[in-house]
Amino acid sequence: MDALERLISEFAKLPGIGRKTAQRLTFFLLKEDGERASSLAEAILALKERIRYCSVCFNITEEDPCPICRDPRRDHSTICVVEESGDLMVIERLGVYKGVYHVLGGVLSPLDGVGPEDLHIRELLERLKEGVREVILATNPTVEGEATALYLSRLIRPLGIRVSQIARGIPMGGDIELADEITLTRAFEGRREVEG
Amino acid sequence: MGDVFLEALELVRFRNYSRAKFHFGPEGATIVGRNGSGKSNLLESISFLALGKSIRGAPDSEVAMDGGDGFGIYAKFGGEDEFRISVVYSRGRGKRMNVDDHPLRRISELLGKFQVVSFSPEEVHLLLRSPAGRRRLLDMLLSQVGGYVWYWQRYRRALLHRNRLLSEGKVSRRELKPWDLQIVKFGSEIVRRRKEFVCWMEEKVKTFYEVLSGGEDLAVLYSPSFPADGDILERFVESLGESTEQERRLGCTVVGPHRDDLSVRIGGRDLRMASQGQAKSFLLAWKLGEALFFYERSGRRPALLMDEVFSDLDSERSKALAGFLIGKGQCFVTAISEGEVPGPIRNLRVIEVGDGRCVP
Repeated sequence: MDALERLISEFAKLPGIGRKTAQRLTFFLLKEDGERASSLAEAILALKERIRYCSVCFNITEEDPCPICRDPRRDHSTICVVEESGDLMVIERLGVYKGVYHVLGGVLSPLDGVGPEDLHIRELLERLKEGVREVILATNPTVEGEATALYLSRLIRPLGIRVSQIARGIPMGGDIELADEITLTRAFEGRREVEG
Repeated sequence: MGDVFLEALELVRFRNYSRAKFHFGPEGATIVGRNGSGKSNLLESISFLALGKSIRGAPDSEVAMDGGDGFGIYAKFGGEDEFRISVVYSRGRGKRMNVDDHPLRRISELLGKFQVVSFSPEEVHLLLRSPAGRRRLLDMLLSQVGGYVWYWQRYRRALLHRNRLLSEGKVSRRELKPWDLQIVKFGSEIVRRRKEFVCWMEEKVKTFYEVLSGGEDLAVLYSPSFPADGDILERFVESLGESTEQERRLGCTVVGPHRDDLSVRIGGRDLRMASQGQAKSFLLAWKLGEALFFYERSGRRPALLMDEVFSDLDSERSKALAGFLIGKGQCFVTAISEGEVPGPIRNLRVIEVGDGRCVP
């Protein structure tokens, strides 16, 4: 029963899956015909074989450079800096941002031994030499995300490039009455002129 | 805003209570029972409803009966506002809190619903003998007021990152800078709130102490780790700049609210020289000040959790204290026997506990 046990223990290593679920998945595959198992195995292999990092923006991609970096209709003079590819996908799904991205691959975190040289910061600075006018910092509003944004902003601003940060505050459709004090304070800090 | 009061409380596998139910009136109760019967545990469970955690600083796993897998605290509140709070902990799923049937995502969402001011004799020693203890005195109340905890968590996290960099030696200013900016931003807000708070407390605590001590003079002063006058943020930046050398030598951040202190002088002498009785009276005066602070800020009186306040106070002081406690919101007092509590307190309903249950 080595094969059975091997698959159960492999499943159990995945995030959010305990031993019980791992067993259920394994027995499910055992009962199914061979096609489901081979299609799953192929999909997993293809993931590791085909997916790589874009050599320009470090987004995950099947082709290098990634479709966003190669798209001539996108505004290549605006770069949105995110922590991970997942953040990029969320922004992309909105369909409103027309610029390009740069994925840092994490945030500054001395407690975890992550310094500037562990992130794709050097590569970002290289890209800035090619006619970039604005960098939008879209790191998460955690202490580490903020520190990373501050670090980048202090590096980039002296180059004469505009640096902005996405606004943090009250969610649309949110009620001011229900927003907590901190969110409200941040919303005030990030206020802007009414257009029109 | 009117007062709310704890009306009903059910404990499941909490400390020495395997299952117990209590009912309280708006004025509170005197809880009597011999040593080890669970009087302090009952007060501790009430603190969970205000803070989401133990006021004694005990980890959740330690509070479960017999070091078991979990506990539950279920409470119903009445008065101006009616609601229910539950705090349920299990080893596997962690701690879950609900207000009515609405699950809370963070402790900060609980804060302000129900507030407590507590006193216990253990605290006298714990709080007064070290700077860390005195800082806790500043933070315990402020933590129950909007946003303070958020600033603290952020400050602490940025400070830990910064200290790590400093401890590694050869770190560039450029790498330190983002952490400098963050500790200054969050830290100066903490200092500003502490300063304002102590400034407010000073006169009140002095007055309470005079009555409790029979006329002794008291001075309370906030002593931040850097001169916090004028623009606090600006002062913090300056002090941080001036301490660069020392930081390099010691490998950690030497200025900031984590190094603050509270200076207390009784009859012109430092608190460290005070007698046990003086220290206790000071702490009581401080707690009465806290209760007043809540009332002025929110229009609600906090519940007072007074553990063994009357033991080793002479009758004169006991009476003075009772006068301060009665009619100021819901008050819970513990005592070995009913006879121990002074006159005015005897009007409170008496609840006897023993062997982890409410004795009928």
